[in-house]
Amino acid sequence: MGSLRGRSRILRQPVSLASFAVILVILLSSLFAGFLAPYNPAAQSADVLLAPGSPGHLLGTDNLGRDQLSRLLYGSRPLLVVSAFSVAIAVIIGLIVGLVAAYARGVAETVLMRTMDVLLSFPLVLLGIMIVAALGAGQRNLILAVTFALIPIVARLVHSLTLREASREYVTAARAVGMTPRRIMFREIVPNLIGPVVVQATSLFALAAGFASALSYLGLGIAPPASDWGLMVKEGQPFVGVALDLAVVPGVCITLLLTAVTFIGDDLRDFLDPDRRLEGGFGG
Amino acid sequence: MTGNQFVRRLTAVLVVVWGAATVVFIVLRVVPGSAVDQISGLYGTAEQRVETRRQLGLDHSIFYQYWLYLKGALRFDFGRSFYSGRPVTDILVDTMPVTIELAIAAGLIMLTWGILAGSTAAVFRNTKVDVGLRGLAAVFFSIPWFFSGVLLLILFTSVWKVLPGFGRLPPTMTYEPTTHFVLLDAVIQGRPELVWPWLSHILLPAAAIGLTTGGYIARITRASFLEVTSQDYIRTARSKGMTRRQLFRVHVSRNAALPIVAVAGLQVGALLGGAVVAEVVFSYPGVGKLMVDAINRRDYPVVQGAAFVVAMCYVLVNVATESSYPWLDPRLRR
Amino acid sequence: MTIEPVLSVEGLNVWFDGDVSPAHVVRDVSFEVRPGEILAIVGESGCGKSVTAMTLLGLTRSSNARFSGTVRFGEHELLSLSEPELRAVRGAGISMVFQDPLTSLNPVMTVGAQIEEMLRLHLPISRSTARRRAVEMLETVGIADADRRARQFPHEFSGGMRQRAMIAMAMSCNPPVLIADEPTTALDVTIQAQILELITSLAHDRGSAVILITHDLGVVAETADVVAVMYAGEIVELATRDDLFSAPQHPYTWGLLASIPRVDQPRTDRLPSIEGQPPSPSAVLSGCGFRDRCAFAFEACAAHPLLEERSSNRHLDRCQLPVSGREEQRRAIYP
Repeated sequence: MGSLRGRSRILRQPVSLASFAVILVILLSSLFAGFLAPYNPAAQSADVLLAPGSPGHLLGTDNLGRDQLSRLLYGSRPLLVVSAFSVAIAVIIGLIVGLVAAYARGVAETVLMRTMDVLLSFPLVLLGIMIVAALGAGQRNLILAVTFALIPIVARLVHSLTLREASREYVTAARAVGMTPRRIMFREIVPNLIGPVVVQATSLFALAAGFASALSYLGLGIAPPASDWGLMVKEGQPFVGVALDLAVVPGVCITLLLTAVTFIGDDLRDFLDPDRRLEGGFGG
Repeated sequence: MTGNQFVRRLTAVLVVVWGAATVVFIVLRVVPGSAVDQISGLYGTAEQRVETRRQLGLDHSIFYQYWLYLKGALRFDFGRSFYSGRPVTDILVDTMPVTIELAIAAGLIMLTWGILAGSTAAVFRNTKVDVGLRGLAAVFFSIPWFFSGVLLLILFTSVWKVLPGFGRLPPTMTYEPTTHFVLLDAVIQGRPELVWPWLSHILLPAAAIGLTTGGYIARITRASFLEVTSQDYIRTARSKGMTRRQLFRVHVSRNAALPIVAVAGLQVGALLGGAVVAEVVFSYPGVGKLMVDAINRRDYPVVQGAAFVVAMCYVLVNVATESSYPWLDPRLRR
Repeated sequence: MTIEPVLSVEGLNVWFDGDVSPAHVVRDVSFEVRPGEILAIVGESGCGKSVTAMTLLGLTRSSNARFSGTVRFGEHELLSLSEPELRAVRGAGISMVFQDPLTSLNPVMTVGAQIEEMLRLHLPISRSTARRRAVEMLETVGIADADRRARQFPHEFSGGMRQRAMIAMAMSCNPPVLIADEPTTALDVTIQAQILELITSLAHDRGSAVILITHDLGVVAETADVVAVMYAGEIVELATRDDLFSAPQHPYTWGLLASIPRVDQPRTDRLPSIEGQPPSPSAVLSGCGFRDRCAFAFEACAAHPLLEERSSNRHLDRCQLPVSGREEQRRAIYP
């Protein structure tokens, strides 16, 4: 069996490296878009509409004469920002909710977890649509929408993990020594949650990014003329007959980002959670 | 399931449904910058603002509004559309079945490709086939729904002009709905010529959703198969003299199915969400497209009604899935 | 006077290819069992006893396993049978009971259905006949209310009952050979005796031979007719039960016997144990495998000893120590 595992690890390596590289490239290009982009992404130019790739415009221009390359470079920012913020906030709030619910038990627990169930009873996109419908489109509301959708996922995970940990021997031992519940919670239990939560955070990031780009595509995210990959797909869709790449390239970029995050998440999981504690499995 | 359990299960469901309705209400009514200003902004005079408020029922207290809303929701009465004046319920009756059809079709594609890919990967574990399939599944799963829809659209309507790109049926085709489900109506009304056009229209959006969500199913299927085949009871069955095929049919599949069903049930939410997006991409006249259009038109009653109904569907499917667990796994009974 | 053995193993070797070098897990093992006889294979974890048992049924066949030797069962040479031919032997000719009955039974099938499955795999009977016989088997192994129990699931049985059910399943086609791999290890001590009793009586009543794998010498003393002691993949001693306990010949056996706490000895602070570790399966043995841990090793031990009759009739051992001195040496370790 050892040889098989060794072999598959070798097969894994290029993929992991590639994923890491992809994420790095996207992050850096987003960060340094200001230096890398040859044009202002919002700059329209009437004389080069829908032009194909050329030395002046490496990836061509869109129907308003804007440089595709520049738009691509800047276009990752809204996505990354929304995803990162949503995941961060959702993790924090979800952690608190889950911990409190698991430790308080009783009515507080029921109320909190039922609320989480209610939030989870909406397909993500629906929740996003509703929130944007109420609050209007825009990046800030997008973050809100995505965060709201993610919180119950984190809360549920933290809640069930905390409950499982709380029944373990080291917690009983801590109580026997006379530790206060709060101390136990933070000193003993939380460190054991970090691993699974971090792993979950990567898949949450992928989820958030997919979700955010979908909402952008629907026109519910950042408003034009801003550059956003999801929005760019929508804007490019009417022109697929003439300039295929306008819609396809941003979409491919999103896919690459999500694929890379998924693979890295897998590796992270193998590294942090080799016993698969996160996946409760069925009936146990 | 015992009577006691059933009652408890039912109350939990009702609580969640009520909660969903409340969330819908809160989000769409109570949140600042809500209906009145957005709509009244279109109008001018103060009198018209008052009139708008009355029309929206906003001149009552928030609790009375809530009460009215709940009463209406129980009867599936969500008022009338601001845009068309039609009762929201009628609009929903037209559009909900479309989305349900789409979700079912997508679900079938998801399960077929996911389970096939996952089980094949498990059988050829650690070979190139396995690695290839897993990579494919991971990539498919990472493609955002809207993009898979766009890609399919490009491929099958631009590059190879084989399939139609929008709508549920060809615009030239007349369709008087009886059940609102095309397949059923084709049988009831005796109109077999409906079937192929309907199929050709639903194929792309369903594939857009099913192929991507199927990637996750493939992963779970593979993991489940691998876990089951390493169990002791498989060794026992082998020692009894069973063939691989028998082993598979009797022992492996029954046990491997449990986590797959659980995940598939959870994926229904993704299917519904995907349906919403796919409908926009393919201009498919379902609830998703309805909602997005309604939002852009500020047609709140429609958004409210649609959101509530979709949420309820999702809850019901979840309940059904969870209820099936004891049936599948005897260890969970009693 | 000699009855024909129903199963005879000669020179069985099993190698598993590994990352670095192949692991020689079973080294030149030979034994035979006669109808109605109980052969116990004793040894510590990792000595190769389970692999030996599973190899008899062909359950260890895989792309990285290699075999040599012969396993004769009736007219068949088991190591060279094809998979379909082996399948006919499994369950009907040789059947097996495993260690943990909870994980060894399919949790989503009723107990009765699993016994029926065994019956219908090998006998051309109808479902209703199979169902009836399954219930009968459950009664035979002492499960009360067998009809109701047959329709229950494994998790509804207690540990002892589950093992009885497994035994019922294994014996349902009346196989001439039953292999029991640590059948009592996962059970309470009080239940262990019952299960052993069940196995013994079934064997005697039906004339089946039993190969009992265990690491527990107490079980051996209770149940076995013949005992094979395994160490590092080899059989180091093979004798009747009485002979083994009254006059053990191999230093490893002495160590095993000595490590059982005894009521009639003064209590000491520590239980005697054998220092050191068994050699790894990938190691190539030069000389006696027990040499490094043996208090009595001498020059001759550098040559690989054969399993031979040295002390008395039908008592084989793999030790080169002069037989005459062994009694005294034994008392030093195992008084």
